[in-house]
Amino acid sequence: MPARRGGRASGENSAANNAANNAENSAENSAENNGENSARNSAKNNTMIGNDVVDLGDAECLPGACHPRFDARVFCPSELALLSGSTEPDRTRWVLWAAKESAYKAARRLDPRTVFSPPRFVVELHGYDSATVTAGGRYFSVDLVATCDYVHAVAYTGGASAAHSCIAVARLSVNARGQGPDRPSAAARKIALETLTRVLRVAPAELTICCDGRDRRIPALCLGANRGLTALSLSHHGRFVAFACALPS
Amino acid sequence: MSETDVMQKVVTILTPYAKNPEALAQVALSTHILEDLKVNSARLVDVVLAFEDEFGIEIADDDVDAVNTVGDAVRLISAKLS
Repeated sequence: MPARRGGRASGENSAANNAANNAENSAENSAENNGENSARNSAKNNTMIGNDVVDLGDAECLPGACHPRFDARVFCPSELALLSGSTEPDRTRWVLWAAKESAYKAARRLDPRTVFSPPRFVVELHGYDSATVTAGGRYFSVDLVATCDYVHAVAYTGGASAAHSCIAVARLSVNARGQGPDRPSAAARKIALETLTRVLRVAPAELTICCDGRDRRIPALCLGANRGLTALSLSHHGRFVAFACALPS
Repeated sequence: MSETDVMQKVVTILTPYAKNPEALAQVALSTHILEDLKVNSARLVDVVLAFEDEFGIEIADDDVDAVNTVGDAVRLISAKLS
């Protein structure tokens, strides 16, 4: 699988190491990063962003784990054709799902009333590392990373490529996964804050994760007094946590 | 079917998908399916399909979007059964 587009945030490796000492490192770009957490920092600004990570090793993603009508419920005819023609249908299923979910999260920032009707978020894959999603007349470009362990999708509205953004995927330690149902959420927040503190070169106290204001389920990064909010998307599944944040200019 | 019966069946269906056993042990109508029980969004599709199978109903995605709590599910299913 090709590496995801976009450059790297400097000093990204410490984020996972410091994240409650519970985050191990992303498999993504591991050869270049000594197996440590990756963070990607690219060049334009796009404020509507959503991300989704799927742990391909989780029992929920294994062949036969879904309801027999799952595919028919979730996918439109063109996506069902992709699945039926795929040599790796189980992997393709979760690539399509992650693209839909990430686009939904971005769409909800535009309109919190957006309904997540999966077949209405139509995915068109472009090779292995990108897709477009259309839904209700809106268009999302999606960057994809699919390793042997996980799928990670980041959706942006409008722009043709990844925005001025910071993105990371990290692997949770066994201990973190076993420390209660809120632990993955807390780890995702901690990784996001630690990474963004370093990337933005601000004091930790300057950044907090808060609600978007229109919907308490939509997170945002609060940049401190008088600096406003910027879009932040958090995700976790199984062994992995992830975030994507539109960096302020 | 009474709402109590619907509730029992709803909880039975949710049980294998709930990742928070403490919330499941104290499940009530006000329990949030995603935030409290920690059912993930993909598994919510399976839950809805299981509701359809168990109760012999169809649930549109627009209806699903309005279901946040166990009580929302119970009321939606009860309304479709009546």
